[in-house]
Amino acid sequence: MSSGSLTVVGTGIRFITQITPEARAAIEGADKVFYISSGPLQRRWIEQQNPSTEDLRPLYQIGRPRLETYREMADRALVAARGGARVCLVMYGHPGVLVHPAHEAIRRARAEGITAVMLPGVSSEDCLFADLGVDPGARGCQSFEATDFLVYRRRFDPRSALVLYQIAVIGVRAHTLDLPNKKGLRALIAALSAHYPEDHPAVIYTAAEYPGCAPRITELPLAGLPEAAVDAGSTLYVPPMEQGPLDPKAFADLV
Amino acid sequence: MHAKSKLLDFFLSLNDGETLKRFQADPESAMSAAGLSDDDKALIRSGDEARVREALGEAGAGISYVIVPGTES
Repeated sequence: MSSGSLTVVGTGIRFITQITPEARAAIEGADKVFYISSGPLQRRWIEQQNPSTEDLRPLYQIGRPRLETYREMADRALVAARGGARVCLVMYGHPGVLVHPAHEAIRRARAEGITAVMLPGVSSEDCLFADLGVDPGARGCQSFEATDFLVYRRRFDPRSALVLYQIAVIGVRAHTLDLPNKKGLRALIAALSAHYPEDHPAVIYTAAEYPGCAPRITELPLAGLPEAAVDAGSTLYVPPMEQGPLDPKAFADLV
Repeated sequence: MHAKSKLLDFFLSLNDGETLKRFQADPESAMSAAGLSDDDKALIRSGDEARVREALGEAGAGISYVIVPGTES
């Protein structure tokens, strides 16, 4: 069994202020840190925490299939762990939410007998709950990645909240700067129109990334989505439709 | 005009718990103590993330998107 290890952490969404103490300790204590920089600020911060770092962002290339990039990211972390290093893989937000290379790295590390653990972090959905005043426990909350939601025709209950990630890149399969994909947005509205009236209120939400900055919150009727300002970080929140009646028999069966 | 290095240093300084507390309690005095210019203070005060990102030299950075396995085609 390798003496190396892999710890996967997230930095949260808002720079610096949302890093958990255990994530910070893992970064500082690692022999080698791999990260995907979101810009010079994060890069400088990580390099200040640990002198042995490698930015994996250059692995993204225009037109390169994303899954190939994710595999190589996991490969880099595993090579170091196999060599006996305590490796820390740093992702943005929560490392387990919409972060394929993190889960792949953990899965492959454990398959090889390398100790691997993921530490939870603050996700954009956590920020959405706080900024929009949504309690996912109150009426239920269903979260999907927008392309997945459409191509698998996911079933959902419109009487519970609906969160759709990555609405700007519906159908986009390789790195591109040409966003949003309006055809994807129109397809999304067509799918949602079977469940909601076109004037049903919705919110385009982007969590704030810098201290002192506010989230971007745009309230609009669902039908307005294809023409709305949407960027790579946008999430769509659709509030629940009217609550259906409680089933007294179902309740009676519980007690 | 924004001094990119001063802005970067200011945000990096929030890594210190006491500095962050001071910024959260009194942003104006924290920014003054850091020696930020009037333009930089106005920028942070604006809360305009797109402008902050540009001033930090992070335009084009930010959240990148993920392709969920099984949705490639």
